[in-house]
Amino acid sequence: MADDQEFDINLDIVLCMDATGSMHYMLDKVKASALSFFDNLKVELDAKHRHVEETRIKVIAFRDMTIGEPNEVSGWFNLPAQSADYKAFVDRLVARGGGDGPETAIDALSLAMAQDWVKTGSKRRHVIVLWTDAPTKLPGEQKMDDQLPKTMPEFVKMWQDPQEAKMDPNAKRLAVWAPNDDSWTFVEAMENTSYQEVSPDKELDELSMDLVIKFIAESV
Amino acid sequence: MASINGYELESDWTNVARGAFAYGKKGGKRYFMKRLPSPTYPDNPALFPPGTETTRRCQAQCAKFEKEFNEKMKALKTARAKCDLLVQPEDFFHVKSKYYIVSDAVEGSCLDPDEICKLPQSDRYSIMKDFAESLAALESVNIIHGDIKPSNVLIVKRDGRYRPLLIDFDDCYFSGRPPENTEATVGSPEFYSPELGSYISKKDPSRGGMVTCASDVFAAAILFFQYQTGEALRPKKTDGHVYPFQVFPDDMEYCGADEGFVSLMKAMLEVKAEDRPKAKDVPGLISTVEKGGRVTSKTSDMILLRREDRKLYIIKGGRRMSATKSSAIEYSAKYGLDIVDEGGEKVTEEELNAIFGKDKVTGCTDYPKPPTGPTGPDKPPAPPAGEDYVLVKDDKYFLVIGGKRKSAPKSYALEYAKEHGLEIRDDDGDTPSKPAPPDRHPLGMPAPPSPDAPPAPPTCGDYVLVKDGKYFLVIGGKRKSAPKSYAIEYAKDKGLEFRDEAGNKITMD
Repeated sequence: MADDQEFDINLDIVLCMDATGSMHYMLDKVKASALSFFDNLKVELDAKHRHVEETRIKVIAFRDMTIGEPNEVSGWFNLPAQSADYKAFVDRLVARGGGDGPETAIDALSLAMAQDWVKTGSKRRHVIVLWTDAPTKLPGEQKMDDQLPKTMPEFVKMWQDPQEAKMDPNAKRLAVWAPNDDSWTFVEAMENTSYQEVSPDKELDELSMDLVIKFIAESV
Repeated sequence: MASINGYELESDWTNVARGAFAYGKKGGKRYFMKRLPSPTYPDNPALFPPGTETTRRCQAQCAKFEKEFNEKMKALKTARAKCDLLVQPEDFFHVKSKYYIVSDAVEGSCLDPDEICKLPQSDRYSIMKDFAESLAALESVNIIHGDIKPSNVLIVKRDGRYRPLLIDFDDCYFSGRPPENTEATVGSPEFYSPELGSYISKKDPSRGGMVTCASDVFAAAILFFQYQTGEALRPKKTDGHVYPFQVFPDDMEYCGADEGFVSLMKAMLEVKAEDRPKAKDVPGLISTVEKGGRVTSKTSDMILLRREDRKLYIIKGGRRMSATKSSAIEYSAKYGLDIVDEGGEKVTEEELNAIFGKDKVTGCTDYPKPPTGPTGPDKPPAPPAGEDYVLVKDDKYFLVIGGKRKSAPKSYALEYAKEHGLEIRDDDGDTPSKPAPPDRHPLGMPAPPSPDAPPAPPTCGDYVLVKDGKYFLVIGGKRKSAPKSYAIEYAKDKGLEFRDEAGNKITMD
């Protein structure tokens, strides 16, 4: 039975990471920081006097579904208890494939939105963070997963519409680090999102796990 | 550089937790511009096809947001006319999908919160009084800022004085009308008032009416404590994480603050919103503290003289009971309580006699004079006079003397009964056995045990449940979680057992 005078904040994080061949440097950063991810997040949260009762993280590593490259999706890892399991998952990821420029990042976002996000807690935060060095393909271009949205309006509806999404409409937050490309302009048309331009030719130097953690902490 | 709606941007947008900001210029004046993360206007037909349910819903949401924000802006302009320390929105519009709020840029360097506690005391009190004036202006138009915290109060030096400028009205709301979706209520939990914390944790929109401007007064107390001491106000050490709004004022750690300032804190941190001072009264209370006085708080034990209508009250354990002059004097002597007026100034017996006259009965009730002569274990109780007794009805106490019934404060009635050997009876003429319900924190936790009160016998079935390292008070069949140290103290005070989930008794080390 819930004790209704408690006040708890529960945080779910989905990291959507481009795992194509050109993204090995970012994948290395993720692997290097995996074990300390929770501790670093806690430092940021403590600085903001935010106490999070339960934190979970999930990884969706995407490439290009239109050429038959499936996403690699982990389960939820409770942090810090399952930090080692989270690290084991990301350590197994290999930066490979990708084919032409655009990847199926939007489909990764759709998949992220469809996860079973935490429903308990006085306050919840459902945070998706995505980074890529490429433009994104449109919904419907891939044929591997029929359940994913097939048009941009369907995709936007999934984010915006409270009945559609499994994410709490006011708890959801999305941050995208992506190159300056028309395919990414939709991000700022959706609510509770943040878009940061990155430079693919600089190996996404502007992006670090510290920045990702900072964004997540500020979302709480 | 780009321009938006006539504002020439001075810099690129900087992303922050909620949206982005930039500085812009228009008409030779400099402005702070905020780009809101939500709502977003559905202006792109490729994403929001006309006529679809999603598009219509977003349009309706935006229309509602614009209407409400314009109402708030109008109210804030009225408040600003009363207090120029409010940096309220000057302009509000949307361009494509994004909404923008524009307010005056605050020029000049601002003090860091860490530097405020190092200022002379007079400067600190001046800042607090000015800030309270800002809240009073908001209160006059029924607006709750909703996100009071150090980063939203810019302390700048103007005309040789430090002035606190209150910024960031993006998420303010009218009193009694917080966002319907509790997740949309912003603010920092460590500044939440009890009623705001309850509104958010219970996720019950019908409780929105509880959230009033008193919520900002609570947050202001936490802010003032940081200004005064340089430290964040925290509950006394407990197991598990507890926010200030989850505990009584007496359970906060007030290290570094003197008695007078602590009394101000306790008044502003009253659990019940209606017990807190209004924002307009806070500057006066700060002046009282500045002169070495103390602030009356509902949870402080004392005898209170309300000069305006010459009424006396005994305030004990959070309860207020009207009193006669003589019982007030006797109570004050017996329990070592000060008699104070609403300004916190002590009142002498001579002054009371001057106000009420010698031995003149006044107050809301009058009842038999308290027993004269020495009291205590040496004096044998007088035999009861016929059918005289103390009646307890609906938790209220009455002296029934010579067939006449007079209401009396509980403590007085019990004392009187003891001294005169009277029985205590309920409405049916029986001796009541049901213990008075414990004081309850609005969020449900029983009041912390009083060190003076003898342990009351536990209600049958009450115990402390220990499950997965967490502690729960099981009172009257209802379970409430509690910090470990609190649960142990409560169990000790009430004589409760510790049990596991299977009902087995646990021995605590």
